[in-house]
Amino acid sequence: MSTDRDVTRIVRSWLHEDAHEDADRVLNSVLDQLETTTQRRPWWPARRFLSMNNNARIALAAAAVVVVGLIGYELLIASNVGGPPPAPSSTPSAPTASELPALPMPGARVSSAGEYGWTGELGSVAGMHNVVVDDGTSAFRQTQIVFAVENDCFGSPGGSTPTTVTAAGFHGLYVEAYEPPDERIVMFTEQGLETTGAYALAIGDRTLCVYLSWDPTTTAAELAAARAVIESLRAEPVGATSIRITFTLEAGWDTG
Amino acid sequence: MDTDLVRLAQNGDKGAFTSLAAARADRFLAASHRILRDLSLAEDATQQALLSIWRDLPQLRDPARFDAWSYRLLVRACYAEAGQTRRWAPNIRLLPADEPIAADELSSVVNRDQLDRGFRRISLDHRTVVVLHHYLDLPLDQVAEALGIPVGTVASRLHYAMRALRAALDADARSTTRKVAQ
Repeated sequence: MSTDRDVTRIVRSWLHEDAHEDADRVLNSVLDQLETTTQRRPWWPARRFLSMNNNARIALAAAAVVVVGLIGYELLIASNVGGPPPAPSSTPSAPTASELPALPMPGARVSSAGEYGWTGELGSVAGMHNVVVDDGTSAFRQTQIVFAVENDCFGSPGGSTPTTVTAAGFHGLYVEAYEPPDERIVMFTEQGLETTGAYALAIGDRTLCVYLSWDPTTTAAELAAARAVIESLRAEPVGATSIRITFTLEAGWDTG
Repeated sequence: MDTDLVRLAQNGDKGAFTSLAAARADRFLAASHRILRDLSLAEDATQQALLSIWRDLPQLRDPARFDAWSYRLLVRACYAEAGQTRRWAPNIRLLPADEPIAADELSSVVNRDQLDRGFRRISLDHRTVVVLHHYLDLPLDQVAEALGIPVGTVASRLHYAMRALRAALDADARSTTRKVAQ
């Protein structure tokens, strides 16, 4: 019988096989670029902080808190100047086949905000990620939105009791901490750690499933941004079984 | 340890940096190749990592941490390269690894393709941990430092990755067995 040790041995042996990599070309290219690549000097005053007495440190820390607080207050005020977001323009009760343009999914990484869309037949799925890599570490986190046209969005057990929800003006049901029924909806990350909120929205006589997934480390702001994408939805039935949607994406999203 | 070279390079000594880079370039390329599964992307990641090291070296406070810090920049470069090429594709949820498989069955069907397929199926996070630990032989705490995540998370990812690889090998082995039977 095989053991974990067998697998470890096999994997280690495979990893150590000679793959004939030769980094000379890469190294030469790097050395060529040194002349034009300026070193970044540290912004902190070297060792000065360590030599401060405790009172000075406390004063500096307090000043930093005040500055950060002021900046945060200003941002908060600025963000509320525009008032509440406009109500969604679409209404689920009176879809018009010609109302929405057939827009493409974003594909490559979105560099600036824009309007995108998708037309899905019954059983089809389309999704997108917003991957955020921390500047200071290699850690990354993501939010993911997947759209699906299905008759049943909650095809497997798990998650909270469905509650009624209205998203982007469409009525439906919502389940959180949901185990998606479809492998295509699981995030391409640490499986089992993400949370998925599943919406089943009535689009005329059809159902649009929207699965919003996020990592444990996803920030509240990133989650709010993803929910804003959902709130920007406009949707209508098209053809015999399809649904057409459009939505607004901020920079950073992509379908990879 | 190359702390003297690191200090010289921090002060702009290109010769010292060249020595540091030359000693690590092959290893960086090999590691990134195994993480990214694509030599071209790995070359780009290695180049980007080495340039980042040169550019940001003055900001490294402790020269003794150079290796862990440089691996962190390499991993970041790999993630950046992977991020540029990610495609929306069905994710493959791996089969549970609860069922044992026979060692002779495993050894008879294991080959590079199967391992490569299995490795591609696990996420970038998991591949990275496997490569840092099982290829670069970094202990878990150094992997954690390189990735900027807790040691417990490293252990968890490693456990998951190896379990998933085993499951992938098992699935391939069963597929091969079925094909042979047909």
